[in-house]
Amino acid sequence: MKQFVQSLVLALVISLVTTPSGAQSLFNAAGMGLPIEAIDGRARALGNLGIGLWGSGLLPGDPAAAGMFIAPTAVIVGQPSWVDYDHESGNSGSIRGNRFPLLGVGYPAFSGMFTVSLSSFLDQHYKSQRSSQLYLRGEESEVTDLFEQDGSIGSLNLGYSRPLGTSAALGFNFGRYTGSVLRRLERDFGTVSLPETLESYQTSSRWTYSGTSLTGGMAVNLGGVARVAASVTWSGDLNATASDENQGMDRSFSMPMQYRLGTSIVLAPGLMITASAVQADWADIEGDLDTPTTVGSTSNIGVGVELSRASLFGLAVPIRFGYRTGKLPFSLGSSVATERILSAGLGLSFSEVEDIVLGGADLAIERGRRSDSVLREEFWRATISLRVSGY
Amino acid sequence: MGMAACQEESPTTLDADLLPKEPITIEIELPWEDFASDLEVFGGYGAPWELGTGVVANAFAGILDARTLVRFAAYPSVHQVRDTTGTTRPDSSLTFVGGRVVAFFDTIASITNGPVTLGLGATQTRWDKRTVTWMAAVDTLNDLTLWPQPGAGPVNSIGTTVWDPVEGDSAWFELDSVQVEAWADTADASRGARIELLTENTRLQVSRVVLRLDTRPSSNPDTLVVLSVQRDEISFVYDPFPEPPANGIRIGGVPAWRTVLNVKIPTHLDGPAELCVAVGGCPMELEPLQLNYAAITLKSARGEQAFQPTDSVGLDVRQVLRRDALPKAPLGESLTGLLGQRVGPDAFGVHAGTDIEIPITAFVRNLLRDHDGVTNPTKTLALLSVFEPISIAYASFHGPGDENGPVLRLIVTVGRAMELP
Repeated sequence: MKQFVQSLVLALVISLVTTPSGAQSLFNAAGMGLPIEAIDGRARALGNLGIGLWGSGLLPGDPAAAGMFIAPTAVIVGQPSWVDYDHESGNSGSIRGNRFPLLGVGYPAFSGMFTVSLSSFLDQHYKSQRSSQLYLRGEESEVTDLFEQDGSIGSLNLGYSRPLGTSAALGFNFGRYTGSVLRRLERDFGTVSLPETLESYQTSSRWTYSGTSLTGGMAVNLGGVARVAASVTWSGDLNATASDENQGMDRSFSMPMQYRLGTSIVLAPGLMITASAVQADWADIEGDLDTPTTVGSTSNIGVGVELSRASLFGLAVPIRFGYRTGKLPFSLGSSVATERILSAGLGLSFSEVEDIVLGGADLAIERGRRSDSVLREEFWRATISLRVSGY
Repeated sequence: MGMAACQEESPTTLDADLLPKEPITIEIELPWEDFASDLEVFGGYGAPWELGTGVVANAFAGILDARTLVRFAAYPSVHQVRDTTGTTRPDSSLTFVGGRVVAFFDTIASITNGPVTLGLGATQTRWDKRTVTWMAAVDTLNDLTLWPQPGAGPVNSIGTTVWDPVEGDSAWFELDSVQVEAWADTADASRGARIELLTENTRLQVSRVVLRLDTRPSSNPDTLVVLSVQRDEISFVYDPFPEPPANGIRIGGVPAWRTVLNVKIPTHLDGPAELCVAVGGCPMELEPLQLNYAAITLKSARGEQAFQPTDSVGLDVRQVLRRDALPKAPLGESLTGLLGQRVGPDAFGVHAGTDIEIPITAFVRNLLRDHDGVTNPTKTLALLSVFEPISIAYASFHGPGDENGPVLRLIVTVGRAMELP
């Protein structure tokens, strides 16, 4: 228990001292942003969508999994990424950013596991600029409007999961959407020729997000060689409340039902395959958006394989490969944006008792592509998760 | 890997449609009556002696006479002299057998069409450099002594000389040993040299005056050594003293002029129509961050020819902290910076009528920020020269009352309400 508390404190300190902002895609600017799955490094490496995996106990999308491993557990996930983009206008460039998509803690009580997690949901950070011609004193001058939207939507989840017999578990998560977004516009007058430099014009508006979600799920182990899990997330409207000094209006956005299904099958000792799928229909939100946006239904599938008998210096170092493909809910062009990712990774076990990992790290490297009719992105993304467990 | 990615590079989208609607930037010009009131011109700041230079003029522009008064410092009492044996040693027994007064002129600030004749005289009346004027030799508390002759006279004439600006920047007057001896007594309050200009319709600026003494050292009586004596005090007197403008704006001069006005900044704008359409109706409350630029715009005027600037004028604007204490009210910090708003001399001559903008953006923004709900908050501003005094010349501008009056130019940007996508 003492070891667990120390590890938990360490994980919290890491999360507090690391810069928790940035952006990872130009698709953040489309609609309500780019979804960020709250999954750990192991799931990323396996192309898994966060459900039906052996051993991953604190994933908000798989609430029953926590009931399969009744032990105090904490996990923190960091995710840097490097993106090269290419726009149809001919502009191209690169961006990079960091995210911490998941911070979770589980603790056993009342014959089950209580979990608390803070997870990312939609990333909305982006910048843009526009040049205009301005006539002042009879002269034409160029001014630049610089726009920045900084914010994201997360979810604070409280969950409970408990085993049903020895091979099944049931769980749920009650989630509250959190986060805020600041939209800030600055007009820079550059070198407009007047006796004094013109002060730039600045205006900003901030909204705070709120809303409720409920996720219920079940997981079943089939004879010790397979696990099947499913979950459903219902969301109420996502409410954006403008701060008092804002000119902007309060808004409300319909959130989709999300359905998840996943499985892991042990084909042979040390060889496991996994497959998962997530489906969510975002069509209802289209009517809530003032800006014309192509909205699609996200249907994602992922498959992967894990070789768990690999070892290094006497420690188990499972090796993983995965592939996933799917659609993004919002796109910048007229067609629905798609995403394809190849992934690989490995796990490191720092502390292990009777095949149970008490402290470990999982690393995933992804190479992916997102594209729609106007924009193509190719990216590298790393996911590092630290997990500690104890009795 | 995590460290390498800690430096964020934020995305920049490429679609302008993803920005909020374009804000509107417009220029608004408020006439005098909409932003200012209670114009007053005050004079008397500083005195000619503070300039450290002199002015001489003779019927310049038909009216201006000016004379420069100089007192020299104590003569040197010892000097290193090479004696007849070739040894250099201090000699404290110096004999001044003659000398010359050398006057240097600022050729750019001076106005002359050719060679001019100058006269040098020795003053006979006790005078005070701080208070001396054309009429008064001394004008201190309980002591008003008028010159027997207006214009720092009479004087014992020492001589005249001709200065040709083409040949150099200095002119000199020869002195005999008697005059040198007369100016040696530093306790004599009446001692001093008066330089006057004898050529009419000319104005010269005297930048420096030096007394050069022909000295015979006792250790080498066959040799004459020239020793320089710097001026101890310098001032100038002039006539006539300019009258305050009836309805104009005056800045600068010596003693310096200041123009004071009350400024009321509108907190709500009722136009123009383009603005009202953009914001969905007027009046619109003007927010500090919507103000990009504010400047008082003055139209330069041709002032009295005798006091026309010959060099750039630095205009300053400061807040008057207590108007009821004028003309000695304390002033706030400069709103225009160290050098002020520079205006070339032509703006008050051949290019009279030029618009001169004095930016006060930060001041207006602060006023809007701190108005505490007061509609059209009022503050008092003083228009003055950056350095006071700086020159006998002053800058003139049209006052309120006609189309040439001061205006307040604002550049305002108003954005539409930002909404979520």
